[in-house]
Amino acid sequence: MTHPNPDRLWLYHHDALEADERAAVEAHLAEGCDACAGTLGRLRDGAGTLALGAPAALPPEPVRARILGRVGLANPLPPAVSSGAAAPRRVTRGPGGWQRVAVAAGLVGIGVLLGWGANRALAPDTRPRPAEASGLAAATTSLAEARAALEAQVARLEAAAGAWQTEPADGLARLAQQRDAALQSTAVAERLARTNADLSAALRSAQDRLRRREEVAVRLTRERDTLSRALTDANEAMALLESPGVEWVVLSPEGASGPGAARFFWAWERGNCMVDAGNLPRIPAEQSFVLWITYESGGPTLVGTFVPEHDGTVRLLAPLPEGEGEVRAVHITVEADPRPTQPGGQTLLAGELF
Amino acid sequence: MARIALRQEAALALLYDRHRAAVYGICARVLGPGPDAEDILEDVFIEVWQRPERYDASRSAPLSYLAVMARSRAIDRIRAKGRRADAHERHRALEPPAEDKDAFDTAVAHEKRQRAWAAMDTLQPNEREVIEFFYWRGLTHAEIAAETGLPLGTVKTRIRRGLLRLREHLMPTPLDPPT
Repeated sequence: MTHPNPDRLWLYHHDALEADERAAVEAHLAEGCDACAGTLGRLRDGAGTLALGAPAALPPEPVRARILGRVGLANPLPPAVSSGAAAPRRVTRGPGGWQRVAVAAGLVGIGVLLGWGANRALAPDTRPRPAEASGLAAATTSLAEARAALEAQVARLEAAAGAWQTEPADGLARLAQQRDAALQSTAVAERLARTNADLSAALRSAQDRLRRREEVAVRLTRERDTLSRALTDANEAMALLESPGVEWVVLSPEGASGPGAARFFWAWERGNCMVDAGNLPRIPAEQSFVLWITYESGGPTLVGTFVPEHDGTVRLLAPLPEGEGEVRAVHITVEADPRPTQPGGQTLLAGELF
Repeated sequence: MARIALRQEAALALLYDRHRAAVYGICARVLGPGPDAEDILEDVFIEVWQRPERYDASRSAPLSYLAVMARSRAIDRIRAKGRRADAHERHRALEPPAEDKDAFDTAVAHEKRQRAWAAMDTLQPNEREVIEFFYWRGLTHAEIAAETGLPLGTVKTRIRRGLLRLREHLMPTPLDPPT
């Protein structure tokens, strides 16, 4: 047995086949093919959908009474909607078929309930007949009440469907706003993080520069103090040398070929003295040079100890020790005792006045 | 529909109240609003009452069953009365569907109507033209050829192609032929 395919059955259903094609399909169905009859029945569902492409229109009210009168209800049930203008159920056209499905599901349930109610009100053994007007009236009242309750349920379902339609949209809008705000906050946070990193780097750089400047300042301060002391000494030396009563003596090595040379200046009216030496030899760190002065009244008396510069030079200003009479001799010795009271070491340079 | 088969008039009243707008809309689409469309509407529901065994719940929904029957009866009526001449004007009067026409409709009918419009939108303009004549005005292939001036073969081809395209969109689930 050769079965026509569903396309052919679809065209057959819509009377769009050629005569011979139509005859073949009809002959096949006449053979009692339940499968093709079933397919044709299912195609009817799609054909019904196509027919529903016609816009809905409300028929005149008497049509309902005529139909129900013909089937035995001499006093027909009141219509579900009493008139076209009486608050019809509004099903607007637009996207969102799921809302329709939700409402449809509700309506199917309502239909079952109403059918149940109708069955109870109009059970076979109590089914109203024209002669039973009072029973029919009671059933009519009961159904009218049931219908009113169900219409209220329909209204609630539609309200719920409307809420489901709007609430997610509102929620999405809120979420979108929160997302935008979060993105903006994230962007601001990223900018702040970058700014913070830049500022931290700048701060570290500034701290480094400040530390270097402080080090330079300390060094300069030390240099300034050194120079200040040197200036003071130089001024003192100049004052001493320019003093009217300044006297001096040349200190020479003890041996003819010994190292070093020095001059010793003093002024009684200023009360100080100065030794200016050069070419002094290097001595061990634990030893020191010591300047002694000898007056007519006795001596030698300690003037001071000193450490030459690296080039072997030294300029030492010191108070003139107390003593009686003229200066007779000046010596520079090398001492192991850092604070000697009498010369004990080697005499390096010496100058005597006769 | 099962309670109608049990001869419960209230079930028929409920069926009518739920689907009268959709069914009458089909009748009015073919015949135009008026007594003829009302007669077909009445005939459809009377036939449901008188021949309930014809409905097979496993194959189609009640609304689809009513819609197919209504269109078929309306086409029969318009052919019987030979009123094709003014069908075009009725067609124009009903297109496009006004938004408030849906006010009395059910959600199920509305859903199906959306699908039907979406399917019609998939047709090529030349296919749509002949489908309108064929499906809603009930014209034969030859009458459409005469109306449009197209060759008969072209009319047949466009109708077949248009109907199959509509089926493809209305019933995307394959209906495998029996083996």
